[in-house]
Amino acid sequence: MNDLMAIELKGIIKKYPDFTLDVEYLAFSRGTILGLLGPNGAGKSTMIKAMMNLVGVDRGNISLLGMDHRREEIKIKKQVGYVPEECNLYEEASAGWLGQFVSKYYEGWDHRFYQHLLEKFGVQSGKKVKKLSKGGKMKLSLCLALAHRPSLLLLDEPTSGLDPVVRQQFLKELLEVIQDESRSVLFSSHIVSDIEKVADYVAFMRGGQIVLCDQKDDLLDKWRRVSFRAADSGAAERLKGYLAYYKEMNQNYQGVSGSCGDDLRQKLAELGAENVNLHPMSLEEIMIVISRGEV
Amino acid sequence: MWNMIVKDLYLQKVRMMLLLVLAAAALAVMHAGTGAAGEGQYVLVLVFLIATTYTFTLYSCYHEDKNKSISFLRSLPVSARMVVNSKFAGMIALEMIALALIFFFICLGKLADLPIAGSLLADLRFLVPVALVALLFNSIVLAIYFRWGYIKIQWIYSISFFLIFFGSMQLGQIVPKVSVYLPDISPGQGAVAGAAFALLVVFLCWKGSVSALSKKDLP
Repeated sequence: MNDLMAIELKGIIKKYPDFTLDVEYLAFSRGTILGLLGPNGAGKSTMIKAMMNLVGVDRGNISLLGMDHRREEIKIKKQVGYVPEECNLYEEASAGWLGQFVSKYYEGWDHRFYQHLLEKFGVQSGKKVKKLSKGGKMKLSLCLALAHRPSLLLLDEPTSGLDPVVRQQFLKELLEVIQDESRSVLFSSHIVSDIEKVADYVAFMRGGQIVLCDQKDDLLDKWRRVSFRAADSGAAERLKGYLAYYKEMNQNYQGVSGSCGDDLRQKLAELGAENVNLHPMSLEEIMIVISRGEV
Repeated sequence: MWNMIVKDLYLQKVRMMLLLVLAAAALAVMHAGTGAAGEGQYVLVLVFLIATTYTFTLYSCYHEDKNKSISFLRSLPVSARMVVNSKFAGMIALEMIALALIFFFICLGKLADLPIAGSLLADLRFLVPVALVALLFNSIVLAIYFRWGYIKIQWIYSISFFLIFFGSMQLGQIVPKVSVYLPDISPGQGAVAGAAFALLVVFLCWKGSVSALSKKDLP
């Protein structure tokens, strides 16, 4: 267990009849924001629930803030704020009452801050949960998760299901409250632009596995759309090694490279590539390629 | 834990008001010339106790399942054991409230010179098994809930209600007369054995509930 890590997952296996979560390793350091990207059904929510011990894993170790997620579950949860994908608050209770209820479990609960957050997000304290819109419920969940000033915040698709205008506003407000340098945040979403705005690190999930995890800026630097013509079949074989995914037609290659340094163009040319073109890729393009497993 | 018991009571505050009305209605029925005199009054107390605690327990499970709020509770610094304890303690607290209400109305009836059987107030030999039967009944319901949920198997609760309700009523009548069926043991021994059995089942239900919730994958 590494105390410097906000989250560390090792060899996690959780089997369902039709799906397996299989995370070999995932970690990110304290004080950073990790964006967890992946299509619906990739296993993002299952992984976050496993971290919260809401879903039991068959194998592997999970540590949050340097503590074992099972042995020190209560201690961890006192320092964690969790916003689930679906609202699971009592529909019959009001926002104010829920604040009172939840406050009993946290020593660091700040009533004034909670009221401030409710006002900031435009949630009426006396309004019952069932009367709130989907965005309102998500905002209330976020207020409840933030009011004890957690060291680690787990946000499971907080923007899904919100219309673009509300989402934009929600993200703006969210960014204001989560950008505290001492706080670690895991923000999962299938909406790449949301992650692009907030994350320091990005992890991609597909089919229950983490297929890529890196610093956001490094990812954008390393990944390039590549096209070239291979001089001969021997060159083609050598050049394929530089492409994560590609398609070929008459020795014309179009693909993407995930290990692009400053000298990629030169390297490819040396190995027999002609007409080399490199284009930067957005996170969205990278995610689409990885999700599909093809160019 | 107290916080969670209060939460269940708060979420059912309207039902709690109805409880008061029901208690008054039960007392009125007792003395409205329905023939519910003598031991019939005990049956009414049992019916009232089981009906109110059962409704409370079931609605509390229904609320949790409908809102998927067990997952919310477990995301707080609250252990699975604490969630289960609060449900059992809430049910016992309500039973106490219901019994207190019955005593209150009986005292009120006595003050108003209503023909209440004198033994009803004093006869703990009956009220203890009545409370135990209600506890047993609701513990089984809670164990089923924590193992299989509520909404998915709603029909089972409907069937089990009739089975356990009428079974409990029979049990409630049999327990005080245990010495008639088992002449070799004294009424005291019979009551202790019956209470021990009921408490054992309650304990097993509690233990099973904790185990089921700890292992459950929450939505």
